[in-house]
Amino acid sequence: MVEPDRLGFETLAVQAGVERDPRTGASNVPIYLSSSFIFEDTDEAASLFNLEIPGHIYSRISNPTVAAFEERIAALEDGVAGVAAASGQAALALIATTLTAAGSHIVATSALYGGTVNFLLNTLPRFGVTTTFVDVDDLDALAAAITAETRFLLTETIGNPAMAVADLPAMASIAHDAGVPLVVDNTFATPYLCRPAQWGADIVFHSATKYISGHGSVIGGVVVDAGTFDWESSGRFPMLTEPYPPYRGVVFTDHFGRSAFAALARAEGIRDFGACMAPEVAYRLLEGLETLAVRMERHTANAERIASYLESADGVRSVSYPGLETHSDHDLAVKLLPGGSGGILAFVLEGGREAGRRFIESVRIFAHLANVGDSRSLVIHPASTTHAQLDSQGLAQAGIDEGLVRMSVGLEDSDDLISDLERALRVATR
Amino acid sequence: MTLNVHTGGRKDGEDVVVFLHGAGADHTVWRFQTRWLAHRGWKIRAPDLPGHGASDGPSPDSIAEAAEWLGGFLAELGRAAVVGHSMGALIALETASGDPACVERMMLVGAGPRIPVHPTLLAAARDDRPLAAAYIAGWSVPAANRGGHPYPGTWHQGGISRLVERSRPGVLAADLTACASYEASELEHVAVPVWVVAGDQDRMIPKGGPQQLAEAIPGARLVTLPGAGHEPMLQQPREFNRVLARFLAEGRL
Repeated sequence: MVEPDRLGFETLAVQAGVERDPRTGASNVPIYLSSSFIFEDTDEAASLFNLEIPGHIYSRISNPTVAAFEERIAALEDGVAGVAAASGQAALALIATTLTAAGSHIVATSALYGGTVNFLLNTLPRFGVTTTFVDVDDLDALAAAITAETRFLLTETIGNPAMAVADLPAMASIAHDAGVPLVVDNTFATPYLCRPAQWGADIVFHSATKYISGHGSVIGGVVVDAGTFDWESSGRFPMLTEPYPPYRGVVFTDHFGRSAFAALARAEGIRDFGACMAPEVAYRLLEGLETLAVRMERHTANAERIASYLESADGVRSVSYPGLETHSDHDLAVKLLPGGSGGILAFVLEGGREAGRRFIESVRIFAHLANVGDSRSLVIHPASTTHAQLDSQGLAQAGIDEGLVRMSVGLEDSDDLISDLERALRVATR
Repeated sequence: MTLNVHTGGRKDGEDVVVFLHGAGADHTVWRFQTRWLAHRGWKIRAPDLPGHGASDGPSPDSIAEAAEWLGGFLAELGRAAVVGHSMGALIALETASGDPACVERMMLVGAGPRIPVHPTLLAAARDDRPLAAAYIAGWSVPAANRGGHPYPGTWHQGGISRLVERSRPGVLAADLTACASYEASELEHVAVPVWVVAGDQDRMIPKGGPQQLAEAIPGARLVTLPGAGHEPMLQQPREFNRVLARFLAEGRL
């Protein structure tokens, strides 16, 4: 059979979005440290401001280095366009502000990053946008929670921090039947392990700070428009389907077609709220993407070995890693994450909160900090850090035991990592 | 029957430019031309062909049938410059051969006198639209395409895939069959000014097709955009628009 002509993932990860510079021959994208871009004449300036022709005006709205990163991640996520933001939280806020207005409603699965939960639960309601949280495994409840005011359904490919795998095809079907898009945080899986757009997601976003950077060096976020959602038929998104006054009545769906959402997110959300990405950061993230595939293979191999070790280790009550056959979502993981379940896992120590504290203070190679997806191995105690905003009931709802330890397995020698864990477990269970 | 006609956001222009999209597509392939020209005094009409985009009704079964439809569409507009892409170019060509009165001038983009269709693509268009879309998206861009799109963050190959995937069942197969079975004839009798615009990396049509087309039509002019594939108006909009502006200005002299 003739295969469609498309470069493979690893090639796109290294090369997409960057053309050889015709003037200098530079093979890598320069860091364009220019706040603004000179217009050819007044006519060109007017055309750019009126969304008639492509080009750069001002680096808050777009920048050539940032655009290369946006295009590369769009290619890797099998989308039509990317829009970078200052952080993963800024990416989420960009989606929410683009799709909602006062009175709007969001349906979200409950096992989400604590910062996401806080944004939905405590901050957005002040602007009149409310969220219903539903157990990630309860698809009937998910469908039932959608109201006439719902503007999107939100989930994470691999839920933070209980490692629940979202049934993306089923959720996409529920969302689309109700006329709302499925928005997926793909930070933990990365496009190397799962491309949610291929399972029906309409908008995908990342905290690029994590595996995309890969080195714990910069903060960034990105939104990818999969180009799949039917905004016109939905009827819930007048900002996309009706004349938009600030740009002389442009109708985004009519004008931009499949990339209407990305176009509005940039022309409104990035322009007005201003949470743009800096070009130096985009450069680091482009470099990060170049090694994403090889890093994710190693992260996954190390995590699989550690998950198996922990499963039989003394003092460990349970291990949550979708790659383990004992995980309740293992079958889904086999289907949606055939290349492995990534580098993040969680486990519960016998002895609850106190054992967790002793464990974390005893590791020597694992670093205790609030991040994941670093080349270094990291551990954290969610109840006292990432999910500290949640009370006991909120913790229970998010599936977080008070003795839960979340671990982001790095790229080190796995023998060293396991020795470190053996030592810390001995102290924790003493 | 609803016919969706995009105007570029303004309706007060005078001289008419009609834009015709290609197989399985809709008017949004002209997004970098329609709004730009509409805000420069041109009256833009970029229809979704029947059965395509937001237009309903049966899609035309042949280039001749589509040309008949276009003849009726143009008759209500008076004289127009017609810009057609791929299948749209064949429709424009067929229309101008029959009734040049309503065609003031023509720009034929990404087309040759014949547009044969790879049998694998034709089979996929019938049985597996996403696969067909992936073939088209792959052959529309230069080999080893790595992008570098001028509209920030745009992955063109993904955009073409989604556009074609969205075509209604049967429409892409009908369009491609219409293209494959058409052969432009009597090109020496085409009596309107013609510009042929091609990307030199276009792999959707046979190599040399645009040259043959330009050579067969008296006085036709060939403009080749280096590095562009099958959709130069989307892939190199600024370079394309410079050519388009010259083409339209020539008609106003």
